[in-house]
Amino acid sequence: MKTSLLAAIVLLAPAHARAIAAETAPPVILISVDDLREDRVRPDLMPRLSALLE
Amino acid sequence: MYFSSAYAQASWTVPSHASLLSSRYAASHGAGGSPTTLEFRSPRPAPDLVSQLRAHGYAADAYANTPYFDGRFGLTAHFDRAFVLPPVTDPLPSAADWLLATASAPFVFAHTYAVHNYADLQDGLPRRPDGRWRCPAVVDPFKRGSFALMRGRSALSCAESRARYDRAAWCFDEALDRFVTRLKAEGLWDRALVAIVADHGESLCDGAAGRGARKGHGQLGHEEQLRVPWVLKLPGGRFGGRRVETPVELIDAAPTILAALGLPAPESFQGRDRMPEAAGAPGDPAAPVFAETDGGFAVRAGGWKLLWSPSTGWRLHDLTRDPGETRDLSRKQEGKRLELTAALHDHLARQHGPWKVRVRGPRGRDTRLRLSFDAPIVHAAPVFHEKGDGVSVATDAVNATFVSQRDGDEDWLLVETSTPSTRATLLVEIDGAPADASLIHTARGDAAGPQPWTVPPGADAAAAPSAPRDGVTVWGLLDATPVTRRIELPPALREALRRAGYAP
Repeated sequence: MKTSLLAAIVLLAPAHARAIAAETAPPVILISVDDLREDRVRPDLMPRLSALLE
Repeated sequence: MYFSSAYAQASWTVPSHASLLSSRYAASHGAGGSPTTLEFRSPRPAPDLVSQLRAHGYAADAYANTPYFDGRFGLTAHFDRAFVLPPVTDPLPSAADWLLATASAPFVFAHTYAVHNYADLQDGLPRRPDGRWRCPAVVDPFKRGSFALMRGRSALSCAESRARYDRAAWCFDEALDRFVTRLKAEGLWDRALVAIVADHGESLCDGAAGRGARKGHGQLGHEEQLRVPWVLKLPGGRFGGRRVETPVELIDAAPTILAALGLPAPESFQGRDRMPEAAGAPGDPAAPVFAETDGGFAVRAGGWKLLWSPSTGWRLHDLTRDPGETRDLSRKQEGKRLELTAALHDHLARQHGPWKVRVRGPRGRDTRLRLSFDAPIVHAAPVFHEKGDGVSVATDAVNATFVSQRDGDEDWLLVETSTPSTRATLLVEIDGAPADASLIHTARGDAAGPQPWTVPPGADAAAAPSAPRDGVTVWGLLDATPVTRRIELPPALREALRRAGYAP
């Protein structure tokens, strides 16, 4: 019984750790804009994106 | 935080996204092909940002309004779910919906054609009272039979191209504002890690005036096609307002994101974690950055840029004195060209396996095999020759011929070159004269290989590599393990692409 319980703890530990990490992990957002050249990131053309640089 | 000198590793969508997600150069992941010929290859299987996040408990969704995120292109293999939305649909609201509905550890990828479809932004839409542009509710590139607008773009004047492009950038900015505002209102934005990039840029009549003006993207490696924005917002606004001015590559994005989360990067990643620079460590302004174009290459190091494409050949530009890349200095600055050529050679030689050629010639006769490549060979060398002799290599600035001199029985040659995306022509000489085509038997070593052979006229490319008693048998393959998978498009998508001008 003790052996089975220990085995169960060992087996469940990684999944448990992952669950804890997932609960506290920040959301990740990756946005890819097709065709956008760097020199267009300027306040008069893209004010909201430019504001994210501040 | 802003990386103001970030470079895409390819100048069109499929290979650039494969690099972004897998943190590997185009020659390494193998994804690509040509949107102008409808020949596509998916990336070789490997861990990527998505698989790594999922391994650490993240759920991963992708939302795109572009056809390249169809599963057949191989870019979405590791996502839990991937949605290809109609081109009229902004993917950001769908991404926000899922983010807000997912309780723990969501990773969302959104790819938008909002700027790509700039040529479809019609004139005549009134400006708003504040003088700003009014954005259309939808942009439907299918409605005028111009899916990717390659034809539509080329028909526009330079002034009109720039005006529509700038307006499309403004309209994406509006869509982004709606996305950010919604996530802020729901309390998600501040605790999120957000990266905003572009997969490549766009030539808007850059370079020389008139017929020399550059348009579109994909074929060339000039600054306007490779230099892209990379915004990185860390949870809690850490390092907000900082700028990293030294050149970085988009393959750095995945390891940087993982490092910011405290997660390890897979060994297959070729990019660098840029968090040290974000924290204030000095970058290397002379570190080279590399990219592949549709059949060509580009390397930038310091203020210099070396390009090669099938249409232009070698071009060397001094970016400090000539930021528009109009004056080719490849002849005047031979030393700099050779320096960057060597850097390109070293880079490409690390990315892919060798050409493998097996030769069997008639006994007692001098049999020479020539591999003549259609693209520049910045590096060609035998890496394995079973018999150990009779091999020579001749190279010049734009091509190279590899000669294996054989006498009699069979052996193997493994030729390492820097030509990951070109074709080779086989020429066989017996006793100093071109071999009679009837004596040459060729076959591709691996039918799934991405590189077709151009066989000598009259040779039977489909013949099995048998051993004729009086002749030469040659067969070869490129980087056979593992090969990329050629993509078979469904008829409807293929037809849509053809109607749009993507077909040859």
